[in-house]
Amino acid sequence: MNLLEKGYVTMTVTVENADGIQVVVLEGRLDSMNASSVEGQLNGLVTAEHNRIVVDMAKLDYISSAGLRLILVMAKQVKQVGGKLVLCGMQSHIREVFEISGFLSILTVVETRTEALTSAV
Amino acid sequence: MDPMTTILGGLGLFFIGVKLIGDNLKRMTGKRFRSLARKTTNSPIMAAALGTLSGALTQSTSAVTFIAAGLVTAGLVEPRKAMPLVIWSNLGTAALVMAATLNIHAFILSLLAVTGLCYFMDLHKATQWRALLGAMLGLGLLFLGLDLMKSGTEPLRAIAIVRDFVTFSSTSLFIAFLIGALLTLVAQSSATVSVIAVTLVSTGILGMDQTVMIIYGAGVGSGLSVWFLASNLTGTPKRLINLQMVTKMAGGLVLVPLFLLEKASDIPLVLDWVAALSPDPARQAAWIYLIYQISATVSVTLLSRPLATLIEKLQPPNEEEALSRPQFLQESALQSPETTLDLVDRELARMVFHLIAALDNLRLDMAHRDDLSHHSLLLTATQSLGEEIQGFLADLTDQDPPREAMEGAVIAQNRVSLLLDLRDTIEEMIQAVEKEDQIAPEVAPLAHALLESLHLTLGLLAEEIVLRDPEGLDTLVAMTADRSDMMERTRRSLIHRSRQLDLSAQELLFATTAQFERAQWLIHRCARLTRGRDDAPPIAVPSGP
Repeated sequence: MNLLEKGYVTMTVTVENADGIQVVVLEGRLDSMNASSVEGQLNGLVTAEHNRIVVDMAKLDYISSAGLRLILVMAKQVKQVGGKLVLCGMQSHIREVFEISGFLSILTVVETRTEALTSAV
Repeated sequence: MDPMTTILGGLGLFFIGVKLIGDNLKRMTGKRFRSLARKTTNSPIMAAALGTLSGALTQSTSAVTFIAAGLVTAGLVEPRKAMPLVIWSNLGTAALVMAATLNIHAFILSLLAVTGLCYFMDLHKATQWRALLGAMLGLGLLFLGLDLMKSGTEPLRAIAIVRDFVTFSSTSLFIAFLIGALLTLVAQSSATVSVIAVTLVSTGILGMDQTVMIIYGAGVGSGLSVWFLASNLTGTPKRLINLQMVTKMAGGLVLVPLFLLEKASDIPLVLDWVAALSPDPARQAAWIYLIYQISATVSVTLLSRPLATLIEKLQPPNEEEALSRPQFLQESALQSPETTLDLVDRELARMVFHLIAALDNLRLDMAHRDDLSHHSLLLTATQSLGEEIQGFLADLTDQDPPREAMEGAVIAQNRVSLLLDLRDTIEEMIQAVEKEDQIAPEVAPLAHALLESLHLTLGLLAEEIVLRDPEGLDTLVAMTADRSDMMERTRRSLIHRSRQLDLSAQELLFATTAQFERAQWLIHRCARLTRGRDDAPPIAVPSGP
């Protein structure tokens, strides 16, 4: 099994700013191998000033329980600073994982980034 | 009659007798012994007395050691408290050897007459008499066998080849020692071999020196025999086996050098002492056996503390034991019911961590890990741990604690029951999906999604059981709320998408989704019950398995 198959190098995180809203773009696999590294990269992202967050998952191919927990932690942080977290662009199998996990009943999930940016305002 | 035939016939009766006595006395005392052992091990003196008595009754230190190991495995007795029981059982085995030197011929024949009459009256068919009559028959046959052997060996002394053999073997005490050890390995009892040696010395077939070395060899052989019998045991119960082996060896370590010193220097030691006790060689040999057991028992008892520490270091608990045993609950905790409930929470969290680790065996996310404990071991440990917590909570409620603590204990009991149900559900789910190659490719992504989701909610449950954060518990309650409509939609959607889904794949789909739903419902119930007691301050999260 090579490093790519193991998932060591298959996660990319990009943070963009769209009119004061932080847009986190997740690409690849979010699993136990890289969840803590992603958490480190996103550390300090949520503040009282920057409390509107959109997570774009259009290019996210796989998410494990470690990834789900990361999203939950982020949601808690956003709630603590009185902000808003919106998830968008999920592929159907990722959406299924979120739905099965009960996340759709506690988080805001929309189809497109445009909708998300509107919803996050 | 040919002396050899008489000896072999006597030996046969003797062996039948030993087996009958041991089996029937074990049957008579098994349950009582267990209950007695639990009660008496709190006092080292009482435990030593019970060990001596049980050694005398069963004539098998192996039997006593294995019963004690069973009690330790079941968590009924602490290993250190069982030590006197195991050590002192050796002393009890001397009863048979001492009795073999007494002239109880008339008593034995009378015993056989009574036993035979009882058999003739079919009393042995009655459950309450069967074991006692079996033991009486065994005792009669054993001594009858010894009598036959004595009468067979007396003419042997006149046979030249026997005289030559005895003369040859008396030149090497090491051979006698080896014969004693090897015969004990075969017979599984040093008392059995020693009784035969006592019988042979009484007829002059064996010399005193040879007999002593056979008895010493039998002691050491008995230690090896216990060790071989327990070769498949690991962990804490093995400590008692090792202790028994050391005890049996200790007698040899003390007495063999003394014997060699006495022979080499003419310093009056053990041989001289037993000669003073009795002029009869058979009685002297029986005293030697008793002295061996006393030396072994006393020396190991004196060294029991450092020995226990050493054996504990050499024989740590095995993985299943470590996972099955409570880490935080001790009997002393019962004195403070409020603290006990916090400690119970930690143990409940450990149960959940075991279930999380069991799921890890099947998760794609863990495919790179080669250090995972097997799920069957973790599920067994979860069951055992749950039962231990239930027992502890039962003890707590028996103490009639304050109302608040009583309510907390009842809620905790309900949560243990829920977690044990959760364990069963997860076991069924694992059994359904563990054969990766047999899962239809259409169902596999959903099965993995269910595993990841369950893994997440279990993790949150473990965390919230110890943190008791109301917000976190509310989130978990919301996440695990009834979603049967959603699951039904997921099932229909998958069947619709995969029109070629065969019957077995559909069965797997229904089984795993139903098990998942049940697991989430149980987590939901457990989270709600945990939310019920959130007035106490949070405690530190224990590390996972």
